[in-house]
Amino acid sequence: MNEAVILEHVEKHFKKYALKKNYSSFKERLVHFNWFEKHSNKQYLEVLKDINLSIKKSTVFGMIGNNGSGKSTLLKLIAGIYKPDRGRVIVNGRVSTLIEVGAGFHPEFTGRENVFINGIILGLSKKEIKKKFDEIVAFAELEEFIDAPVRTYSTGMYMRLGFSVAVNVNPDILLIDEILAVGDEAFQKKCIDKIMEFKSSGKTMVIVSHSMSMIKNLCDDVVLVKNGGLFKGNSIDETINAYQSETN
Amino acid sequence: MKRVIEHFADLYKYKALINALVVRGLKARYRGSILGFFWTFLNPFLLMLVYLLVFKVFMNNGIKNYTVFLFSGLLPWMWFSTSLTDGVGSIIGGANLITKVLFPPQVISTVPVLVNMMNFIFSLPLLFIFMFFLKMPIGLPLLAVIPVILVQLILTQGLVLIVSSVNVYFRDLQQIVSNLLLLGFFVTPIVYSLKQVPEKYLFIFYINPMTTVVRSYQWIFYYNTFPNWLHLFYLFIVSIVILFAGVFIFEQLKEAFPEFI
Repeated sequence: MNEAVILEHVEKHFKKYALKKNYSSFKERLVHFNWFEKHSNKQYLEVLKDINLSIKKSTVFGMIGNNGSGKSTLLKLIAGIYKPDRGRVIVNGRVSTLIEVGAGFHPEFTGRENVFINGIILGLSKKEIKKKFDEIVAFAELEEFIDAPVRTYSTGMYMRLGFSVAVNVNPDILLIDEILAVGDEAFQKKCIDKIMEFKSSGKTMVIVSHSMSMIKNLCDDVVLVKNGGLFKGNSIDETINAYQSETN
Repeated sequence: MKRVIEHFADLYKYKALINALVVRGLKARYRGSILGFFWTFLNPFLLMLVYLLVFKVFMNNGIKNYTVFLFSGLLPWMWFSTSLTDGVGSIIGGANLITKVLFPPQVISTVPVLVNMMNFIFSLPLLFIFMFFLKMPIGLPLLAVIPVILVQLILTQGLVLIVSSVNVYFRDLQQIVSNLLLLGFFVTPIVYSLKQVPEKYLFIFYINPMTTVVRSYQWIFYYNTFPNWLHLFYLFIVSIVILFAGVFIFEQLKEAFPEFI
């Protein structure tokens, strides 16, 4: 099998009321005078319509598009967090998500404790984390602060630690959402090196980014997510141009 | 049935994560406080003092060795009620995990039940200390505490699965649960004995599953006898039914969790 990810006729919609307000309590209904309003007029927001996509193994695949265009939804469908309403998603290999770095970090706990829990959440065993612990901390450059609670960390430090754990999970497919903009330039360069290293070891990456220079530098293939569909030009530059001309 | 098996198989598969989260939950509660883990003993102790003041000093209810009687019902009740109050919001509280990482959400609902169970077990020595000072016998019936804990675990887990998943769609439940728990506390024979209840109200206690739980502990610790096995068996059946209902409801609702939290 040459493909890491295949999407066939995938469709995803959200209920409109689920977007407008996630819930409705009695108090809210009273306050808004919609006492008896049932959610019978279920309107759907079509986020993704008939998506067909295949991502080859050991490539870096980029997704660009405006906020709310459905990039993250697409990523969550690939990750299996969302289930498609129609069509199917086929994924070959172990997926690791970097949709938010440090998901599950607890502010009161030290960097060391959080590395262990975060690692386990992302699917590592305790033994594996122990083995990789020094590497993780060194990559994040947090040797000095690893025994301080993460609430004392700066945003950059927090992100670096989260990223560092996630890239050490050793997945076949890594899904990255907007998080490469973390850290200073030196750390970003390290991240890019890591991605290149991943790629050469046969791993697949799907990247969502608003940084066109990063997309150009890293990706082998790019799609533009727009109006619930995908657009792909003849070349990466053409796709990017289509996106940029739309914003200007 | 397949989904029920998968539900538990996933829990087993993620036991390392559950373990890590339970340890974290135990530590997190008192992290940063000076007395730290000592609060595990201090909290029930102070609560007990309040009830002692009201029900023994002010309105002497005639129960001998009241501290031990109170403790043997209060400690398991605290496990039960804190599990439910922590558990009802657990799925919503775990939003940043459920929407960002793929793993079975039942893990998140199980953790508060286990954290509070460990808290309960850790607080038992306090009860033994009181039993020792009041020269109350501790004997073989103590062994029966294991099946009682297991039955309570099944019951609590089942209820938490129901409330945590339903609460995602019906968030008023959180408030309803905390009020029901207050009612539950007073319609369970914890601060008084079932003998003090007029017969015409006894039916309330028969439909309340926590009655048998609390009484079983009282039999063991206070009366130093084995619990009523028949009652415990009924409770076991009820708990299993509730657990299966919980798994069923949870499995029905869980697919849409990431979209609603």
